[in-house]
Amino acid sequence: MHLPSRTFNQTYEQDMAIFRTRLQWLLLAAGIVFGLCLPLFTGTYMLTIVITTMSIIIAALGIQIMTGYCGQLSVGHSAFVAVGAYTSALLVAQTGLSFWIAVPIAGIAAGLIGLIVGLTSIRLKGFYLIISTLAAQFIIMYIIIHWTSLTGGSFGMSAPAPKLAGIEFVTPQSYFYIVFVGLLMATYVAKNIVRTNVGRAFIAIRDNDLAAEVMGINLTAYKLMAFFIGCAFAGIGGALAAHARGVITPDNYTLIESFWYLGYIIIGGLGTITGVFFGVIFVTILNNGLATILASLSTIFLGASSLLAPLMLFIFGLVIVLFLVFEPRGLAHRWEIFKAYYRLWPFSH
Amino acid sequence: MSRISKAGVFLFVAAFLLALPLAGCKAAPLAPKEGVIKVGLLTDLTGPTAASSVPALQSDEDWLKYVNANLNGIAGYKVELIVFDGRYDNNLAVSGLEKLINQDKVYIIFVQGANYLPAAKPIIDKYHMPTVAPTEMAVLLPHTSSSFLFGAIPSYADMYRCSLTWIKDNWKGKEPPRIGIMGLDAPFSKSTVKPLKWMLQNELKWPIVAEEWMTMTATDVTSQVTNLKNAKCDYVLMPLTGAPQLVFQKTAKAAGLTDSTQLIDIFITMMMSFRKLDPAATTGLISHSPCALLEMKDEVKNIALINDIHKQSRPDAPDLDWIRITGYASSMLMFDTLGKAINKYGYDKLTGDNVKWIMEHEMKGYNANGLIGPLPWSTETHTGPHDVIILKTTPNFGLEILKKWQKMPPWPKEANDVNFWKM
Repeated sequence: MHLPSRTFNQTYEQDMAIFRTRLQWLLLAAGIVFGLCLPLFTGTYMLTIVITTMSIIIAALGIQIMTGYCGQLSVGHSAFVAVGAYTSALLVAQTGLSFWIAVPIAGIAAGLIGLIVGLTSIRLKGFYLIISTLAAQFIIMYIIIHWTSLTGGSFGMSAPAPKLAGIEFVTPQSYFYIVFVGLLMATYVAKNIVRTNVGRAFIAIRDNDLAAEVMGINLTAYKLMAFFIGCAFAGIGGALAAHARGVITPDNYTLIESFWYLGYIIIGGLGTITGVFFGVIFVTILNNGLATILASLSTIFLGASSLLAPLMLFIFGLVIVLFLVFEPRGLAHRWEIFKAYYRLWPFSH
Repeated sequence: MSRISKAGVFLFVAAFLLALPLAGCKAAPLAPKEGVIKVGLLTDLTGPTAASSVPALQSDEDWLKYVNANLNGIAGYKVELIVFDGRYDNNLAVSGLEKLINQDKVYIIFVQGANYLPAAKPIIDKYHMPTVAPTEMAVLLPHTSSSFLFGAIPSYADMYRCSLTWIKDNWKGKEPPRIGIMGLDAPFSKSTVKPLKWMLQNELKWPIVAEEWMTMTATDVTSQVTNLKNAKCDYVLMPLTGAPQLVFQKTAKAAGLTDSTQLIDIFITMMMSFRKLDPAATTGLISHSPCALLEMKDEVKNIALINDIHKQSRPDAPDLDWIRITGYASSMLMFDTLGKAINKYGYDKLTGDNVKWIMEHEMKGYNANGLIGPLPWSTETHTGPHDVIILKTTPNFGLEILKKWQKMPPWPKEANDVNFWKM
């Protein structure tokens, strides 16, 4: 981490600190205060999008740990999100378990399923692992769709709103705080995982698993750990999103969604926690922004919708492609360049 | 640059970035313009169902233009249509509903994709937003009067109930007709077959001599067709769709099943599409239409009217087909509902609950001047009409209307329980 001039690390704690200077702590505090105040001045529609985005970020942190840090490619992440969502919904709706207990259990359940899938990663890597996780996507969703007595099948099931001390968090304004706190906790955990010896082992496996093994890293244990942690994050993100929406259907957890989870971390930047935020927010703004622009145009110019809808889809795809062409290392990298430029201005970075 | 200036630039940028969301996030709900009625439409303008959604939207737009220009809007108020493209994505569709309800403040919504309904139902009920939707799957229908969802067209099960009633009324044989079923491993098909089998076994007491199933990815149904042929069915009910339906029709034709067995398709959509792809395999197929057809323009004045509007607005577009007619019908339905609501309550007191009251108390029997079957809406039921047009394809892309507005008998009281419809 770059330190301003006349600031030195004199202790181990200072060296390891994520927020080192007063300015960084001030910005963190300002960000949290801004987040806590957001429902007070944001409309319901925008708040719903923010809640969905935060849930996706939590789930995407999981695939960042799994793929970005440990190099375990997965195209079945959406299925693990579904496991978390359905587990939580079933526990709350059918057994009456409290939401506050059901969500962590959902994370653990998704993590355990991920562990089973991760067993294939011990011997597979690269494209072969992709096929294995693809199979997991189809198998899990097949079970969800066809176990109609448990999950409601294609027609879905309800995910009741959480309650605490008689208060029901049914409005987006109230539910926002639950997801916000969840996001803060998930980010804190994810950031610290990657800074520990576990995170370093993940990175070593990603960069060269043979060298990592020679160094004494237990590949089996750490790969399974990556799958468990990554899928647990997915499960928690899925559970939070499910209770926000109130109903879950299998259509929310398709293969396309799994590809999008990969897309978020590629666009945001592989191997960075901030990259997850950048990627998810960028795609969400682009997606919803274009749909909102189209809806607004339809009120100004009758006939705009049918004419411009395909164009919006085209623009969406084009932006993604151009972005990857000009910044393949992701938005996080671009952000680092910007910070370096600002820090060293007027000198060249 | 000095440290102070650098810090100043930094603070300015930070303040600007913070101010942006502050300025933009609270999208102040668009205050209703004086004299404007907003109608929301959630549809798929891109994605797999765009081919049918876009023509229906064009009809909505044409009717809106006609109403604003020639009928002075709805009760004197101009109508505005706000369209959200769901892109066949449930997550985006849910956001779109939230936008239409909370930001655009529409008074009624038409959801053009049945796939959105499971996710949409809790939202529209939460915000008390009257919503009209194609409810082909009876299991998706609300079974409580508190729901704000209203069906616009007959369910698939209702359509087959109509055609089985038509068969019963016209059957000349001494023995009951032998019925075969060719189902698809998809929710809409399974949820249609279940009540049909109940009807055949418990009400009509007709033998189901064969029951075959295929998957969505099936490319060969020879064994199923052979079994149906060996069972010597008089009629085969085929709640299929898409590529599987075309595969079945081609195989049935090639195997000679259609020489002795009458196939009954579920819904006019596929039949009209497949006529272009394989006319031979689609000739002689019976199907159901939820709306009047262009062939009825001499007896249904409204068809002649919308045909004129269509030709003037879109001279290069294909002829008025059933998709466009349902687009007109859905617009008329929503606009007339809102007109009644304004007349009863006044523009300033238009709320979701008031519009719902109108739909439950004053829309029963409404048929969009002959375009659709009469609506049965009441406080007890929000289902779509129970009347369909039974038609048959003839050579050279012709259509023979076998029965106009075939009614179905009411379902038994067991059907009031949602478990009657669940798979």
